[in-house]
Amino acid sequence: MTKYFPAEIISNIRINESFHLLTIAPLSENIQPRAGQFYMLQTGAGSDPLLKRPFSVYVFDEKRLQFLFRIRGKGTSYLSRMHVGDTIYAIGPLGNGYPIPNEEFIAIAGGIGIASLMPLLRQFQNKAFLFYGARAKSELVMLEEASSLSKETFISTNDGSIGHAGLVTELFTDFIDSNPTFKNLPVYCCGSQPMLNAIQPIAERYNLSCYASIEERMACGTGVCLGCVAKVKNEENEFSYKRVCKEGPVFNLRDVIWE
Amino acid sequence: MGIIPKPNHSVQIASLRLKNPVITASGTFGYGEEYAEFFDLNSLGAIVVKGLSATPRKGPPPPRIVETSSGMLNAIGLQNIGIPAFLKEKLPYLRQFDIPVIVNFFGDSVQEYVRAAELLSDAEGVHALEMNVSCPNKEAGWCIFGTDPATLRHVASEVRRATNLPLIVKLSPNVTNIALMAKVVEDSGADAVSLINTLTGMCVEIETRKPMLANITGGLSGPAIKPVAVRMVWEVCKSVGIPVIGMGGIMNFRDALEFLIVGAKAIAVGTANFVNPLATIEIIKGIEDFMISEGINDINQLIGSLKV
Repeated sequence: MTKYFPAEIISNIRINESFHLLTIAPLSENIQPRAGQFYMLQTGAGSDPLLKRPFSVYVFDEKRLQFLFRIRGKGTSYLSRMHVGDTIYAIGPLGNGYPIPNEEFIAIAGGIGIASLMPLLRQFQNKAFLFYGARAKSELVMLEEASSLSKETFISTNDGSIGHAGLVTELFTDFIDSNPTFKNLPVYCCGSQPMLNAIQPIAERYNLSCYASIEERMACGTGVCLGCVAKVKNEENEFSYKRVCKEGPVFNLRDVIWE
Repeated sequence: MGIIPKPNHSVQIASLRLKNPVITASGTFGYGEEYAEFFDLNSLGAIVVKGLSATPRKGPPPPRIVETSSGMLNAIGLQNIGIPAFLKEKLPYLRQFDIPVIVNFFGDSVQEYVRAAELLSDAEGVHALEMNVSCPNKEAGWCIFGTDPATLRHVASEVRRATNLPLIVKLSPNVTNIALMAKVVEDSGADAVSLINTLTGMCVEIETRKPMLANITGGLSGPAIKPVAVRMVWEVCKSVGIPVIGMGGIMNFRDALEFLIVGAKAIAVGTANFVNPLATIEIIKGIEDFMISEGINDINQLIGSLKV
């Protein structure tokens, strides 16, 4: 079994203008991922784009891996144009993944951050209080599926096109303020840096166990290049630069120091 | 019917015998452990580990990398665990392999270079040193050691005195005349030179008007720099007698052969490892297949075979 393998594209579905759902079948025996782990996927045929890109695994079973992604640059645009039957190379599963929740948990997703949290929702059905926010209704991708897997769903959009008009962190703050018993639940979050930034003081105030999957540009994905570091508090109450691809992508949010 | 002898792929760099000419470039292979998950490190010609200093360094803040056209710009710089931690935690692991371990090292003063070389010289399992001179000298207004001939001569001579291990000096390409720098290094008593380190570059995000790296500038690597690297290796090979290790944008065996043909005794694979963890062993296989198909039975017949 190897972490570097060719895979055949089984389907590549356009969800809407911005989002794609890619399904690949590894062509060699591969290692089963855990929720919150990721893969480096080939996003070009030649040397431009050059590097592979990291994608959280969205769905997996023994035969296939599925990735939900947002078309953002050259690499994701290339990936969105790949055809069924094409072969791409992948490296993975990589990173630490989420710690397993014992019981009920809180999940906070910002936009495409839902991709990283979905395996957790699927593995622990009807256990999650899901807070899901995005800029607009069209960007609450896979909302129906996510909400059907969750115990309760709270949604927000910046433009108010659906749910609470505002930030998902406002919804979460209200929830935790008015339901103090929930502060014993672990919190799993994945979203933009401003979102994680806003969650941090709440996690601090209520002493929450808060796990955040964070994003950084990556070159190798395997821990050798030290390109994707995050500033994280260490035992000596100092900081060190930890590799998002190796010691992460999931960190204790309260330890992360934003630059 | 004669038996066709197996072609010879081994090369000699100072006292080091490499079973093939393919090495990993410093900073692209960690301390070996990560890629041992992907293939047997014994297949390599040699391994060069991530650059080390006498004391640990935190390195610069993120973002540290940005992709460019056919390349990447990095300001990963000098984050490392420090030589004492390397000797204690990483070197024992590397000793199990039957390949030369070359340790890349640096300092920000001449004394620090010397100290680093001394710390490494007595360690069992360190077979050679590669000295990175592309870092700033705090005693001389943070100018780069490797870009001033007098400074380079001074630091290389001092390190030469401090170690009996084979000493390779990794040259910076950010100079007017790299052949002159190679000559300086040869005169200082180094056993080999390796080149090129990354080319200094910069990227700007036009919407925010901000540099794309927190460090503002970074080092460019990848296929974009290969023609520059081949030219520089060719120039250096013509001007020094010590062995040259060529690198810069090597992605496949064809790229590797260009460097050997212009005179490099060995080559190092860097950024390609990030794209394909098997890049080095695919290059080794590609070189072997090329030799067979061209009827070449000794790699040394290819080295320096450029026809001009």
